[in-house]
Amino acid sequence: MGEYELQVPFREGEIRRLKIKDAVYVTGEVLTIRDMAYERILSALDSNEPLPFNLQGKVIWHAGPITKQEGGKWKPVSVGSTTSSRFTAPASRLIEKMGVKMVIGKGFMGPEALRALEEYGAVYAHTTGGTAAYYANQIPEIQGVHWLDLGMPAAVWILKVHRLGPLIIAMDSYGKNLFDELQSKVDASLQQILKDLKIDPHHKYLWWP
Amino acid sequence: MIPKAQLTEVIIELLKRASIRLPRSVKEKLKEALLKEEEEITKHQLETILENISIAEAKKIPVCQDTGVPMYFLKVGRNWPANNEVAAAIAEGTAKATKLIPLRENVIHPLTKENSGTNTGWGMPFIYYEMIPEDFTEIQVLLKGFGSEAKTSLAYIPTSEDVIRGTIKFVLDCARKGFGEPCPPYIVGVGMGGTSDIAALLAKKAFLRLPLGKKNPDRAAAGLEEKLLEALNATGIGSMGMGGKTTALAVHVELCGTHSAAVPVVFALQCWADRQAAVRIHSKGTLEYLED
Repeated sequence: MGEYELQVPFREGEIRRLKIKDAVYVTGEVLTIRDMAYERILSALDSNEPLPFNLQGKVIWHAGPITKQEGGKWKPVSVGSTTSSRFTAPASRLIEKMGVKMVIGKGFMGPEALRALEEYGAVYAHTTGGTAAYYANQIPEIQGVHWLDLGMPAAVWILKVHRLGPLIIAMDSYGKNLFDELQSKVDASLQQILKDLKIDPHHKYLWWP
Repeated sequence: MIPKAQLTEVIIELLKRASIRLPRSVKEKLKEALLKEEEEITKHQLETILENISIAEAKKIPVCQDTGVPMYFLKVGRNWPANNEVAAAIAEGTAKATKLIPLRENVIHPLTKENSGTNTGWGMPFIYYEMIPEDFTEIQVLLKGFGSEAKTSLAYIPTSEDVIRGTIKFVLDCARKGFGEPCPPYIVGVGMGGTSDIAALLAKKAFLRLPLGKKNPDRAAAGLEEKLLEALNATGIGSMGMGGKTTALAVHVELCGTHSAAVPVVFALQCWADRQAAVRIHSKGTLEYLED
């Protein structure tokens, strides 16, 4: 379990050095991307249209912030992660096609994302969910916003972060997923709980066939 | 009766209270959870959560960026004159609070995905009405974030089977599938009985029971609450799914009579950021904000 200070853009080999359970602090540019922005990025990708921002070597954050305008400038209010598992497919494409090097979110992503991280040398970092007042303190500046027509939570916010973290590396570029380990432990506990309570582990309570 | 303009201000105050600070009993249970943990990564999740709560209170900003959709529960007392200004005041208060606090602009049209920017529109805010034989009217607001909301599930447990064991299995299956995504340590609401919609409403109302962890007065329900809490915390899912001794801070079960064939059971979650507030408006117009 190492601890690393990372600066965006990353240096060569810096991401490959990271392993699951490492704690990292990120400084530099981070872009927020969530459901509707993914939809728009992928449709631009499919039709070969240019994007108003570049994702090569960048960090994306599954977050839908609360922001406010003060004296003509956007300020962060509360900024935290949204559930990442629903972005497994689109995040994998951004890693593959657009060169994203780090994805920040909460929870985990599926096997497709793990393969993309391994092949293209990127990582997935877990944040504590809901702690948006804490992370907002680590964002000194909002550099810009794209696609505000999608609404505040869905727009792409270009954040300048200072020591964002600690972020826990949950999926590394060696095909390791922290949650595989955690899930097998939980499954073993569940077996014991059900046995103690004399509950059939295969019984599902769905009414329809 | 208080005038509409004042009622709008009451709604803004409720949303401020709900979005910025958590109930006392929730904070206490989070602190207790931290004391029980040994693993560094798990302790770190809870420390971040507790520090986050302090920052939000000090800076008066929303404790989580997903300020959810506000759910309103209106208990109408005896002396509340029937009028249609209540719904309008709740809508106006919601829109104003969205700009003022600010809350995240979450409410969209479900098909076109158009965002109203005010957290109102197309039937929102939705208000549940209830008549009560009291001299006050009570307004409760629950901010429902969607990381936890999206894990809501329904099962029907046939009465030919052991309903208690069936409910435990169903709840454990849901918890396993959700894992760390709904932001544990969470609060579990289980609605049992009625029809599916009644069970779903009861599962939500279960979150309004304060202080957190207070037992259902029905002995069978209280017994099930205890068993479910023990089983959930034995899973080891832990804070944010990072492993550990506390997966659920509390389990609240709410009951309603049901059909003899099968029991509808709804599993619902509220993340650790259990945001809610309530006010009583007494018949002479005095306001009493409720604290647990």
